[in-house]
Amino acid sequence: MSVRYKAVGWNRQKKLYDRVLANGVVDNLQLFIGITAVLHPTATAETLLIRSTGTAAIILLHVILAIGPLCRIAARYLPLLYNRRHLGVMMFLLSLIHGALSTIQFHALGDANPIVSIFFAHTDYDSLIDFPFQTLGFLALIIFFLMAATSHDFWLATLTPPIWKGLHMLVYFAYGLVIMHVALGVLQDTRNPGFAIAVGIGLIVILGLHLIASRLPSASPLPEANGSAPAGYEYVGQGSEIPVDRAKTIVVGGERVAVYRVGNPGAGEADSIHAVESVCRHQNGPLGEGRIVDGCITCPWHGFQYDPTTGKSPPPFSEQIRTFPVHLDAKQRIYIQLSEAAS
Amino acid sequence: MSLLLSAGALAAFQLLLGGIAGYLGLGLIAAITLLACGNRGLGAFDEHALRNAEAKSSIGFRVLIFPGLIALWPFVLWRRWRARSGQSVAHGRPHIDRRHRVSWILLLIALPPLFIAAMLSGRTAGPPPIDPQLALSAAGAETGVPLARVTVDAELPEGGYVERLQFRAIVLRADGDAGIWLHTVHAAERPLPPDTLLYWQPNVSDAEEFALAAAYLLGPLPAGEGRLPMPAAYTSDGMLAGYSLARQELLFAEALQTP
Repeated sequence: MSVRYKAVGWNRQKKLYDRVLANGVVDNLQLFIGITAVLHPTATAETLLIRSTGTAAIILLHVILAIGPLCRIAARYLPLLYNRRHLGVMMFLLSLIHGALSTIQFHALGDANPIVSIFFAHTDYDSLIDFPFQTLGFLALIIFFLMAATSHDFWLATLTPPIWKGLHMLVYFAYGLVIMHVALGVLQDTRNPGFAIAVGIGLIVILGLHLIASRLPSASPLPEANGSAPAGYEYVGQGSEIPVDRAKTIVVGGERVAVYRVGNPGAGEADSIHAVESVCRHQNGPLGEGRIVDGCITCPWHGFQYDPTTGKSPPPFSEQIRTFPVHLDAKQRIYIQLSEAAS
Repeated sequence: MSLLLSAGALAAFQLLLGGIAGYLGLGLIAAITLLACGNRGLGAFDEHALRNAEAKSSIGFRVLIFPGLIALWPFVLWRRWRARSGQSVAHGRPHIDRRHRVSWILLLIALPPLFIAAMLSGRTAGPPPIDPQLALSAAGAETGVPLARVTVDAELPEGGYVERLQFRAIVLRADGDAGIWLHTVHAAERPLPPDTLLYWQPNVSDAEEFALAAAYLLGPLPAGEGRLPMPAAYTSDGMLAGYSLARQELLFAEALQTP
């Protein structure tokens, strides 16, 4: 969280995750290079590296882009989300190797500036058949660089969350560039339809997952009043509607409020109800989709935590979200006072 | 597109590259200065960083943020200036971002049709073959005495983005110059592999007799039109060859034809 910066915030799970990631990438490269070397014995080492790193990078990009919607669809994928940043940096490094070797192999040994050569060696920009596809990969690589270079939390604080988020949402544009880079490049060159089918399936899966996730209800409007609400309070639902240690998210006046039911196992007391704003201070994550861990509301995106009563992060951290007064009547009807938010 | 093909576009692009290089150069200086200043350099606007000097000074942290500082140095300096002059930077009220959905809807609309169109478009076989009888149109070629010519039309091995190499070349003795030159005109419609080196071997007329070790290196195959000096040992019998550094193999070997 925010109290101090480390180069990398490793813990046991992240180390395990990174080890699996590194091994997976190395295995993928070895497998690809081995099979290609057998099928195309004349391919040079540079060509093998260009193709293997490019393939690994696009596979990783699809995995990265699938994680977000998967987590919306099923909470069991959330551990992948906590560590998505490392996937992104790994994908950038693979893209960088792919791009650098391609530039050296195809553009650096002539008498023109290699970057000028990328954009001007082949200039059929109005043709789908001979489009200079390398330019698309180059632009995508610049976006990946900016994202990897600003992946540290230092940049989140420096750029502020809205700007940081806007910068990192360029990944969608970069994804489009990468798909067209591959489609207009290697897929038009190869006579094997299997590659085109594989990329097409990847595209359908990614777009389909986002479409499904976007149709999931993430918040409910205020329900109709049930009984007489105390003055200044709004009825938001029954306590029994909310699973223990989970939340119901409602939308009031364009704002999302997470109403949490915090269980008190063994204490002999009833569960308590708390209402907080549903936006995490870290990256605007949906707090209403999180859960209670160690008594704290825990953001599903990166695990930022807040005390449900005060809205403050546990010491020594300093973030705070707004809380709303809650009234729970004898029939377990929940009312919250939206105008009295404490920040 | 004609705009992109024009010399003006190329000059503008080179100017843009120069500007970017200058920007990144300044960024390098700014990044080194900010990191050298430690907390005073970086932490002035960052309350969290100020609380932990030890973390700020770690080498790993500095290495990680260094590339970003080079790329985004104006923003960092602006934040620093705002903080020093007592002006806070508005973070804005946290909000749920709807840009995700908009981005994906745009991709959903645009990407599948483009992908399908790209897949349905087959690669062309390239431009029509060059007419071997066609004279070189280059103005420079007319100013010398033509000694030999050759037309190269080589299918390249798989694995590169260029499938075919086509260019014409003429050996000429330039007017008022004792030197002999190889004047090349590359087929303008196709890119050329920029790693291709041209070799010439005298007294050979068969491709099988060509030996790279015995040949003279003329230089890299120029894009568009260009001239390479021929060695003093030039004779009319000889063979021109192209060797790819990246592929590490001979792309073509063609006998020079005396007009």
